[in-house]
Amino acid sequence: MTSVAATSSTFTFSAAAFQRLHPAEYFRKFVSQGVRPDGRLLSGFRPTTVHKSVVSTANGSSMVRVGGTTVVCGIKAEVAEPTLEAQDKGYIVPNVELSPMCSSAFKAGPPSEQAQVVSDAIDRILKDSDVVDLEQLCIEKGRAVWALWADVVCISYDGNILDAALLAVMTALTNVRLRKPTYDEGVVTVSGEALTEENSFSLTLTRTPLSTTFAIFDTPNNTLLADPNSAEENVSLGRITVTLDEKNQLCGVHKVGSGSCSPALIKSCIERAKERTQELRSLLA
Amino acid sequence: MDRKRVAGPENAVAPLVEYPKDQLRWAPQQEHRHSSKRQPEDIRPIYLKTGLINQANGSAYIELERTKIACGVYGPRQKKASQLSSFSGKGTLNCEFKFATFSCQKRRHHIRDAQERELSQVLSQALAPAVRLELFPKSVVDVYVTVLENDGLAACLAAAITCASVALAHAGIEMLDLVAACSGSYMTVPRNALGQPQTDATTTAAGASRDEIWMDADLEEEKHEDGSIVLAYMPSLNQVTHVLQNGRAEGAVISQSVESCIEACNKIYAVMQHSLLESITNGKTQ
Amino acid sequence: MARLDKSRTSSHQLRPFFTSQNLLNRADGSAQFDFGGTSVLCSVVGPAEVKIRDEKLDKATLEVLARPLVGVPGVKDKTIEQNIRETLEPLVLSGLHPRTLLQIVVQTMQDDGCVQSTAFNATMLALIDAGVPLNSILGSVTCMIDRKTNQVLLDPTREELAQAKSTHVFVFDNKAPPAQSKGDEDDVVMEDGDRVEGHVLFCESTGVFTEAEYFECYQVCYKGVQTVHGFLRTAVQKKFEKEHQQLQD
Repeated sequence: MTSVAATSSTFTFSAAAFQRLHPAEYFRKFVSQGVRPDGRLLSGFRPTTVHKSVVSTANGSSMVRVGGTTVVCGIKAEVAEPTLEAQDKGYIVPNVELSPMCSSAFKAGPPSEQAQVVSDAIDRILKDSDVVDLEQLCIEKGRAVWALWADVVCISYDGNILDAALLAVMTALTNVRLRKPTYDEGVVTVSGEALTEENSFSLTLTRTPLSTTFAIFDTPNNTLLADPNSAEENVSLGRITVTLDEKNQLCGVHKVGSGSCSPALIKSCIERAKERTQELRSLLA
Repeated sequence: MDRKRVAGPENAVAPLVEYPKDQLRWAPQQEHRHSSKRQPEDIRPIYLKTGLINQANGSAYIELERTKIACGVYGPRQKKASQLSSFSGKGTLNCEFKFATFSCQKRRHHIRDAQERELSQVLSQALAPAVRLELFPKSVVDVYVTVLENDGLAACLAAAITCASVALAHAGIEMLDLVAACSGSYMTVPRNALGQPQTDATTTAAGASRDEIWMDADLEEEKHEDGSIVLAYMPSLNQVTHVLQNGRAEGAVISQSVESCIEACNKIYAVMQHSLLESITNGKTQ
Repeated sequence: MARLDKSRTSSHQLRPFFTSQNLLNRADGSAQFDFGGTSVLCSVVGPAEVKIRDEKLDKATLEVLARPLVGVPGVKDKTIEQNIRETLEPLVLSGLHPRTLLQIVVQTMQDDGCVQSTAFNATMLALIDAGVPLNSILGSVTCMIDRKTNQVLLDPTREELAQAKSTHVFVFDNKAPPAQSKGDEDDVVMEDGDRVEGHVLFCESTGVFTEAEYFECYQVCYKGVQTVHGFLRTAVQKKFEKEHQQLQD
């Protein structure tokens, strides 16, 4: 018996084993010291980069990196018939693809629940916050309009996909260049000559909403982790996403999961989101 | 109708493109390759980097001018129950090849089509001979390849094989050798080309043309080719793992093209080694 | 000010509630909840057997399936499913039923705006009906801001929602604020001196709105939810009284 006691008292984990066995407890040890395992402070965001015009086969494209998360958004324009209710309005269709390439958490086949929810969230921001006046996409009223397929491919997944994907979609939308179309008896033709200012146009965005996400770790203390990575997403219980446009008007507040939050906590999230989106906007310009 | 994606209009088509009549379109001419000053035997400069997907066991990204491909490798990991039909003493190499919807001239669909299925097959046939599958029985290594931009299909496939092979090495999967791949296109080039393009078959057949092999052809060049070859090759073993030939060419031209591809693969091999060495030195400094 | 919905006189007035519990005899619990012309039926099955793939060793697995009024479920319904599931997960004492499945099916019966709020309330009653252990009761209401008048309208109809600049779904529970809360410091004081209080469990605001408008909606909804809580309490009480009587007869 004594030998057992002796071995158990000297039994130690390596940090990596501890993280694997008790991810939440491992994390709590860091948070109690005010830091996170990747060296960030609780309110720290990961380095973010934005690149425009990365794919020449697309009408507009962008690549966004937020720490270990890399997404590429490509917008392709096609011609479609408008709906009967909105005869002079085009379409913008955002879809996010979380393929098994970007993380082992995703399986091959139809989109996972997460991919669907993120696609829907971007779709709602585009529609409800009136980001693009869809009449710009009209070719011939009631006959033909542009349909912009905004597809986001996740190359590398490391948490906070909504912020990265929304930033990528907004950058790609500002990057879109459409050739001026001619409509003739049901046929839409564009010129094949090189792109110039005269034969093409870009979209005018009413506003560019960008989001900031915080993970809620440990209720009821409600420790907020800005820009959670994938390990942090797995141990946290809820999240708050604040979406803001360039005039600091809110375009969305979403709080889900975890315990209840006070209004003051939501307000502090909004304040911090304001600073963060200002930083992001300087990358967009 | 796809219910698991945000729905768009059902019958969307690409607009017709009309080229002005007076616009000169590119056509193959001697010593005049499309949009670059390459010689027929030159390949495009390669940018190859490992470790961009931090959740994957191994990953690589390759760029040949406009061709852009990312690859992630997962495994060896347990086979799924559905894959585990019977015991196998050898591991499986599962390759999935996907074009991003915006990667080609014409928009592609989210769901894997026949061509992507075929290319997945070719990819796994080209890589499997190099991987020591006997070392991990009952397991699977998944190789996922996403094409972000396609500039020439044969060149794209070759780049995907090269990229996947580096990603496998980055994942620490034991291999006999790296697999480098290169493509070549059989071109009929008018001999004394002036400003005017000559695409008329009668003039080219009248001895005023010459067969050339253009390595690593881009999309515009590919439109004018008579056929192409994609060759996957293990440089230090001097063994070929896969040859994909299509189109019409004389036997001698094909032999010649195999030689040229092997030569190009040796050049690519140096780039692959360099990027892997870089990943090790970077790993040490971190 | 007048509303588009002629049956109501005030902008902060809720539509009449209606609820009916234990409607489905093959589910473990079920409830219907109506906000005026909006009606959602919810069934709960559990604890039941769980697929090995979804099994959790220390708690029950929650599965929410949202069915739309017409057609097959799409991405919008997936969002509702995720919202309901992630809001309920901390509420249900799932540790009491490890390695089991709790399946919740939410079916929209009539849609006249505020489906998500109605679904939250219906789910809550169905969970109580199924006897699932919970640590608190939630209540939900929706409000919107009119595009023209900038007026906050509580519990809008579909007709009113077409005029919305922004919509806000709020869920509050009936728990006392957590012990370590700092009392007044948790509240937000508005410019006009009004105090915004109450701890929010779930909120989803979309559209375009200012911070002041958001907190105004927060406050309006918090007060609205108190009525819902009162109603839920009465509904459950009535149901138990009835069952008690039936037992005695």
